[in-house]
Amino acid sequence: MSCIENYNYEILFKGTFKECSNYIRKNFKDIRYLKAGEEVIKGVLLIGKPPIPVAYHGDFVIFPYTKPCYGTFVLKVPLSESSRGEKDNKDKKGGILSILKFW
Amino acid sequence: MRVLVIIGCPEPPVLIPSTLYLLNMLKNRGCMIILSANPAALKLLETADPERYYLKGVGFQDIEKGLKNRLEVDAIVGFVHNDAAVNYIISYKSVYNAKTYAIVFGRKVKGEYIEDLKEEGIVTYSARAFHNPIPVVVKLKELIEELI
Repeated sequence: MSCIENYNYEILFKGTFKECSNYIRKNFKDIRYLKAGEEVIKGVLLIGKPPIPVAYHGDFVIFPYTKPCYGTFVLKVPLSESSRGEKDNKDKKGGILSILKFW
Repeated sequence: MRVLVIIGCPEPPVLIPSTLYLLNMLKNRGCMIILSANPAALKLLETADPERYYLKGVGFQDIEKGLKNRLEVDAIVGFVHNDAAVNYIISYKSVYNAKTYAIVFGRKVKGEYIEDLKEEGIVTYSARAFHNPIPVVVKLKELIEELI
């Protein structure tokens, strides 16, 4: 299960990454532009071509999120839930063998 | 040399055999291979190689969780046939900070995907292929020649 499934998100829009970026730019005012790979909420990294628009509206954060088989969605997630995610593996000890599974 | 291979949605028939072909070429050249894929693609690979002839020794991780791992790799090779794959490869390049190669394929090769990848400094190859893997294999051989 992906980290985003830990959150009570609402899908606002579905399309290509560019369409989703445009949707956020057109519909929200308080926007920050972040890089791919930055952690937008705990455990969830931004995916896409930078600059990636992330909007803040009331108590919600709005950002594009891509699934490999299903395309990109604009998600609205309550900021109050933003500490639910999994711990980042970058602090994990034991190197590559502890992170990967091998056939 | 440590190479990360990215495969996303396994819908096109050429994707799994082309991936096994690439893994074989990389293994024959002594590379350590890490595969980032979605669960369905991993199941298809395991089914295509039940004796683990090609997969033995290959490390794998979920395509989404792999963005958090930030492993040390020398190069990234990604297969692209949809908009999502473009986004994942650009993101992996940003997180892993390694030389990145992409092969764009499909019934029609979308110029928009190639432009987006090139703008991010990704070396891009393209092949019009959906059922017949040979055009992809030809490009993979070119890619390997440049990579190693």
